[in-house]
Amino acid sequence: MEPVPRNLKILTGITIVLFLTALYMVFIYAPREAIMGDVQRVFYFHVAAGWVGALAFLVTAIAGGVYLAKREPKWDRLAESSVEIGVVFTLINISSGSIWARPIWNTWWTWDPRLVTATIMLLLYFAYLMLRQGIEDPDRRARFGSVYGIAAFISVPVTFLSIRLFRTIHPVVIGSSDPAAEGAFDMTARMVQALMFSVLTFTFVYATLLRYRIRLGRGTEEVEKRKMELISL
Amino acid sequence: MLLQDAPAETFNYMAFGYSVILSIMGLYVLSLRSRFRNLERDKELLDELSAKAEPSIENSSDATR
Amino acid sequence: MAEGVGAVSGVGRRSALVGYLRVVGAIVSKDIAAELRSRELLGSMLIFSLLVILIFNFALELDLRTRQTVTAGVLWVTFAFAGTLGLNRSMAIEKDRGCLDGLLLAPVDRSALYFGKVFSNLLFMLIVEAIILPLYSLLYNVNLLHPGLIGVVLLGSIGYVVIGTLLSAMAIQARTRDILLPILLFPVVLPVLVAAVKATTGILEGLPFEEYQAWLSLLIAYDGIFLGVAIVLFDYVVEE
Repeated sequence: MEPVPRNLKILTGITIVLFLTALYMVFIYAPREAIMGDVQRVFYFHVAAGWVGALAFLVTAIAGGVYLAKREPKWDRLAESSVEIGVVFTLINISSGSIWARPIWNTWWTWDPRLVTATIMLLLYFAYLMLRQGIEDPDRRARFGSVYGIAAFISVPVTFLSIRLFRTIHPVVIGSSDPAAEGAFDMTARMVQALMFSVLTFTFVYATLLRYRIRLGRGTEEVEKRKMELISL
Repeated sequence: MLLQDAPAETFNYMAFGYSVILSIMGLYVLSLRSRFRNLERDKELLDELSAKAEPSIENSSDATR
Repeated sequence: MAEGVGAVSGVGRRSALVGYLRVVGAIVSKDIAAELRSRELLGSMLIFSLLVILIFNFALELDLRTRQTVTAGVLWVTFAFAGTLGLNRSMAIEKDRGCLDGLLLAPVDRSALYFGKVFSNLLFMLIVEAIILPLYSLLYNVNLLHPGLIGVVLLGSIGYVVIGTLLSAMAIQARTRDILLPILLFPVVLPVLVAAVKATTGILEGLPFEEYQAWLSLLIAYDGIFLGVAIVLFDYVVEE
């Protein structure tokens, strides 16, 4: 395995520092919310994770497009790696959203458009991975992955709009006075800073994990190639 | 919505939420770690096998590459 | 891929267009002919739809009151599932009989292939719907033969088939072909189902047009967006 390049080590270091700082900000720097109490602090990482999930999906779609244009394997590797990380962060987004909802609205699930869209995004990612898994030829796998990555990404905003429209006509959440707002609370300046910092931190986490995952992908490809060579001897 | 003087006591839920968040992240990092290790092992194995195969490559005339 | 059309532009755009339409027409008539002989597609889609409605009958206890609110949902779930059968089968026939390879040799833009399949898939889906709608009306004493409703069914089916054809072309080449199509398709086509159900309900309940007009716009927008997306991406799917 090629040694970890210096800039990746530095990036990892920066990310860790940012992460620890973010933890300080959400637990100590940011004030306790007046109505919801401590559970509101989950919001910072919940939103940041949602942002990363969407970003990861965007990266996959764009990388897929570039692959279709250029046919260089590194773009497909980027797309595939990004999806995996996107799944992780979308899971974090959904579960933290659910846990946040529980004490506030006394329900584990709210049919909030953002939460539902995140779930559908998760299903789209899974479908993407299943599609890739079912195809043996690497070139076709990359091509189909790219196609589905693009189509799936385009469907997300349309889906979000349709659910939003559905919700404005049918407020469904029981016990919530304002179905459109995801936990309506007023944000003080410190809260906004904590949120912004969390988003920044998570973006760094995404970038770091992505680079490691791409390395893993490269290494796996090399090993597969060598296996093939060895078998053909 | 809630007419209280003090904020709701939701510390436990916050703790639960963060445990889940950090666990999922941690599990993913661990999975990356273990996959890297498996890769290393596979590489070592391949190195061994191809070292053994080396002598026979020199003997056989066609290298199917 | 576009060379076929471009090369002929000197001779006359008109003959290129005619050639294009001819390929599209050839695909549709081939599918119709094959279907008239075997009737496997329509037969299985129809029977499946009837079974789904039957299951819903017992699962949902469609009494007089609930029927009103639930009809649109039952119909669209039925169409969505039956549609998967049709899409799968239609593409499988292409692949298994090697028709796809033959068609790919034709010196015409690949999108002609796409449109051909879309039209024949749409045709079969509409035929099934044309049978199910009156049947449901009879069984449950609901008038479903309303022009607005038929319009919604048409728009929804178009959206479904437009993206479904693209995705089935991919799914068919995977090992897990049959189960993969619904997994790929349903999350992507969700807005169509949501909008179609809401618009259908609006029409059935006799709501004024403004109430459900947003849903129709959403359907039309989806159809347009994904038609464009699919036309561009289809080339990359059938590349070989």
